[in-house]
Amino acid sequence: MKRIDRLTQAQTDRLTEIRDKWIRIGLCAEPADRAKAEEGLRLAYRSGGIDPPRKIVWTGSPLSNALVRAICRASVRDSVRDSVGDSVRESVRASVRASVRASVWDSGYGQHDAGWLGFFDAFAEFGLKGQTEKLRGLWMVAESAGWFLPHQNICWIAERPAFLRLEKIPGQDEFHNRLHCDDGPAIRFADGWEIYALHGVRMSQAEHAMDDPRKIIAVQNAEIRAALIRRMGMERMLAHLPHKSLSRSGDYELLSIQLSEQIADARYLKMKNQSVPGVWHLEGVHPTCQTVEHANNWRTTGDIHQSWVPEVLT
Amino acid sequence: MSKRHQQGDIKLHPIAALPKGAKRLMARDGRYVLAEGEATGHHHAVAERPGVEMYEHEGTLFLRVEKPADLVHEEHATQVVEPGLYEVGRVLEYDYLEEQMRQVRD
Repeated sequence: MKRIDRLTQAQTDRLTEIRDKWIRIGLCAEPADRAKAEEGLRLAYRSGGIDPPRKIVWTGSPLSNALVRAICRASVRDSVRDSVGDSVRESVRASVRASVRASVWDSGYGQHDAGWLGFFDAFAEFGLKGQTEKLRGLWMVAESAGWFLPHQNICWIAERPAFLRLEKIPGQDEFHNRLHCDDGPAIRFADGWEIYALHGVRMSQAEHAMDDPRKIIAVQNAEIRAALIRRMGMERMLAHLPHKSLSRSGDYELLSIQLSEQIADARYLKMKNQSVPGVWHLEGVHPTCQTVEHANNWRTTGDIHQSWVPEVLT
Repeated sequence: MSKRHQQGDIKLHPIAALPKGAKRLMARDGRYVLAEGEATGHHHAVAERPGVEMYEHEGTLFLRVEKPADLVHEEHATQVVEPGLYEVGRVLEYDYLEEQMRQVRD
């Protein structure tokens, strides 16, 4: 048994290269290297102590994996899987989960396992070959394909995305990014499955296409609503919504907005996000609110006259 | 000294005692998640460690902190939560189309 107590300077320098290699793997949007992925899968099965699957079936996306399996479901789950997170994988995961929940937990994430596989790759590089040998199959799959659904006799495996649209997260280092595309999907897979996102906020295609302020203001999810308002711009948003200002205080303004002929006086609190520059929120408050103070009271206590002022606010 | 905290749509309100019958919750992936955003996967969370406990009673979460603990979120600045017992709440919003109030959902 070999043990590493400290890294040499050369090993420390090498860590940067290993990191970059696994980021490239995780975000790769090239067609799969099918031969290498299949060899990796067989090796991974053997490393788990089971015979390789008799059939390996290629699909266009993780969603197709799940749907095809849901149709042919018959087999036994095995143990060739694990998980770690990154922004892209989390998005794909949440999107598949919304459709076919069980398959998310059964999947191996291929290239999206880059986070933890890269970590162990570094140990292998530094000499712990025997201890990491069992991961060799999963490394090969990650380097060459997308998600897979391993069963005893059959394994479904997906192509990588056809493209990814990412942006750097402001204020963070160059390795922190999130899904973002203003005018189309942020991820598209070969079979046409798409994921839409604005600044890391996932939404449906219908929400992403919204350009009517009246529809945007009615979106129930507060983060999706804020992301859509951000894209449109608060000033443009309000320019399209008949409104008047009822009260102002600091970064808050209470507005009366005409949403429709029937809803002529909807009270909304316009407020600046305390943590993310350039982000504004519009949140509906109780119709009895007359001032910003009423609105803040109601939001935090449910009573316009009962105050609850946070001592720590971010 | 316990303080009132607000991080985005989450509130921490100091209380004197847990309600009777409150159930202790286990941490998930090394942290106690106070709220999770379904559109971003971001969490308001406190790391699991000795002296931090989370409870649930009738749909409400409670946090017990024995040493200062960080309340973190991917987009909001971290807050230091002083020792104490807190009820976890969410801010409200009014839905004019449904004509009803609800907790802010993200």
